Amino acid sequence: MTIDAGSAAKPSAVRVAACGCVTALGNETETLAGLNAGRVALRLRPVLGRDGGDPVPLATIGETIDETLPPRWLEPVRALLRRAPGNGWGGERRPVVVASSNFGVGSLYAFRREPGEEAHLRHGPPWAAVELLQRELGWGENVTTFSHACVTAHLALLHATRLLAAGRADAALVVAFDFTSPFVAGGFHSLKILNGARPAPYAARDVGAIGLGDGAAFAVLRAGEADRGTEAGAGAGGSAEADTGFRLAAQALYNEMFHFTANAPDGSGFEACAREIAAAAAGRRVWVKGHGTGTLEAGRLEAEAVARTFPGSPLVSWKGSLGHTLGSCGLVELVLAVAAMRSGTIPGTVAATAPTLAPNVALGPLRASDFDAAVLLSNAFGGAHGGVLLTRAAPKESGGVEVATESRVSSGEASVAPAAFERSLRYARAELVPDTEGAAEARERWRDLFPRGATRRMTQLGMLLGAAAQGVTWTRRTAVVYASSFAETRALEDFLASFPAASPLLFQTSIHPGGVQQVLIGRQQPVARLWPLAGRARLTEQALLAALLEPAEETVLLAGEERGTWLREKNLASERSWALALAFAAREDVAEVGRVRFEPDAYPVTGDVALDLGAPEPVALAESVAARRDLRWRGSGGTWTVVWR
Amino acid sequence: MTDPLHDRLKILMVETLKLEDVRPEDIPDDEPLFGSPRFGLDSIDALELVLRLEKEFGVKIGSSEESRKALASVRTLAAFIRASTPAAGTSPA
Repeated sequence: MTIDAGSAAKPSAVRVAACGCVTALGNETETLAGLNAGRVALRLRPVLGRDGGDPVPLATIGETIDETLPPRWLEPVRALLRRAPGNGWGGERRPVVVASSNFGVGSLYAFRREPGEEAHLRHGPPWAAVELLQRELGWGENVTTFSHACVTAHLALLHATRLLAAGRADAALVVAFDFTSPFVAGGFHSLKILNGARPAPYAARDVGAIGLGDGAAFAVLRAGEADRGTEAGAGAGGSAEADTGFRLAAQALYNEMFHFTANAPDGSGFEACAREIAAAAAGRRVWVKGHGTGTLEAGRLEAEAVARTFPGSPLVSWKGSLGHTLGSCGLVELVLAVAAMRSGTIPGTVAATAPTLAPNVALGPLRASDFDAAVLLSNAFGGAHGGVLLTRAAPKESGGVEVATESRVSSGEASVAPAAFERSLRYARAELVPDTEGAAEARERWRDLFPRGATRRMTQLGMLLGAAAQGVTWTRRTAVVYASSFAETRALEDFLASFPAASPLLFQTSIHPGGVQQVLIGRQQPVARLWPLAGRARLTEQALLAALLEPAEETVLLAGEERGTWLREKNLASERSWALALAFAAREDVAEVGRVRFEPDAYPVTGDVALDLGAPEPVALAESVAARRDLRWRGSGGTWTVVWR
Repeated sequence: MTDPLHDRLKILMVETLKLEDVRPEDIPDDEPLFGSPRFGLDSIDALELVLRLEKEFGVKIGSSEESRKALASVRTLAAFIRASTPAAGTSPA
């Protein structure tokens, strides 16, 4: 039997079968009407909620940013997702992909303020928030969670697209949500960009400012065209006929790894992502929805890069009204773009006035009929970039559906079984440290591995990841998958302790995927894509799948945890500190140290590796690497095997 | 004769930013502090130092643009602190 080397084909256009969102202005219809009327949802409120502090612009769903029991994000997200058509989400062929930057982190702040109220802790970590949604909405186990600051929604969309293209799903539900809290607002306030001024994206001003907003969105994605007879816009029922009339014709990601909070000053990071989308948009009349938070330098770099890459295309941002909805913004704003193009009017850059940072900025509304497609861009801490080309489906013609994209996918319900995957590992290393070793000991042990002076700000997790990856050959064509359930535990604990005078360094360090960014920014090493997974259940399998779906020249899988203190005592942090690095080779003609194999249920399982009981946690994979012990377990739809040479 | 406020600021920098191989007297009064390869300090270090200065001297820096101007050098920082808190002189709040 021959097993494919990996069907990580470049995904083709995917159908947006249904979508919806909620912001401080209401659902997508209400939000669009508000934006077109020039309404600003942002209000000046105390940065720390009922703990007071400077007034800063916040746009909330509800009256408070203080976390409640149950969490204040639960009901709006639940109400929104009840609108998502279809059922059986989280089943084997209907994956859910969740995107958020902050999840329930506001609950950890609330616990710190009210130490007797332990119920808050049930919602704090990313996996806890997702598991709450699973229970509330009846999702199955097939839920993948991403967390990469303000580009997270783009990762979720592209991962869902890849699952469809690889035949591992009939439909995918992408969910993104981010609700602000004193934790988040305090952090951005410490960076001095959430200040008393109101945001005016792309406006040429003396002082830059952002606002923060609550947001949530969903999209149901399907491969192929809707069955004949469907009218564009019908979104009910979750069936193969559902269709908004829009396609994700191209998607791109890029990671500068220049600095945590600044971009390469030549704008090359913005351009690298935008150019991939521009290539797919050739010949189309496009408008551009930029990231445009209201900061000055990033706003200027983005506007200028957009002007170079999409000459003549107008650029808008809606964050001057809605605030920055963080990890959800890529999907919230995609839904609004769909609504705008269907309505006929695209809102301009609300709350900004002339002069602007570049001449392509559109302050007033645009006529949707002047354009064929929309380019939607986001960017994030660490110089992460995401882009989508949103196109209209071509009108149906007799005899079949014409797909106005660069490639065609098979029509109708996809019923292709998941492909088998097998990839060589060219490098594998694990670092498993004793419980007594903390950041100071790690700094002493690994000081010479990093650029001079770098370790003074690195966390133990960051240093462990760097140590595990010390033999990896990095290039800008490398893709990185990073899995961590608890991530920067000590920075999180220390950041919470720093309130009310929140530490900007600890805020920055506590944000996932800080550990990997410490390593790569320290090396000034851009990478093609970075996929930081959060979550807990089946995390090992999800990380391996993300790596095997990657078409990059070389894919590196990193994973790790950091032993916490009080969070560990509450079972909200890892018991031990460890890290691992695996480098997958795209070609078979490399000196391999091992292989990773996925065999679908339809295939007979090969080899004589004993089947372990249960899905292993990522630390078990690290132990397998350290001991060179083969692993095999039954996952979703098939069997995973890791064998060592 | 050195300015005591300059000396104090240099000590705060070394302490706050954990500059292990740097002595306070190694930090010049007039060279750029951040973005210079000499000390490897960046905007996050600047903000962390701002936090310390706000606590130490009672000054308030409102935006990232304001912090960039104030922290251009030890001399500009000292001038900013004196202008913001005339009674500070050379003593912390």
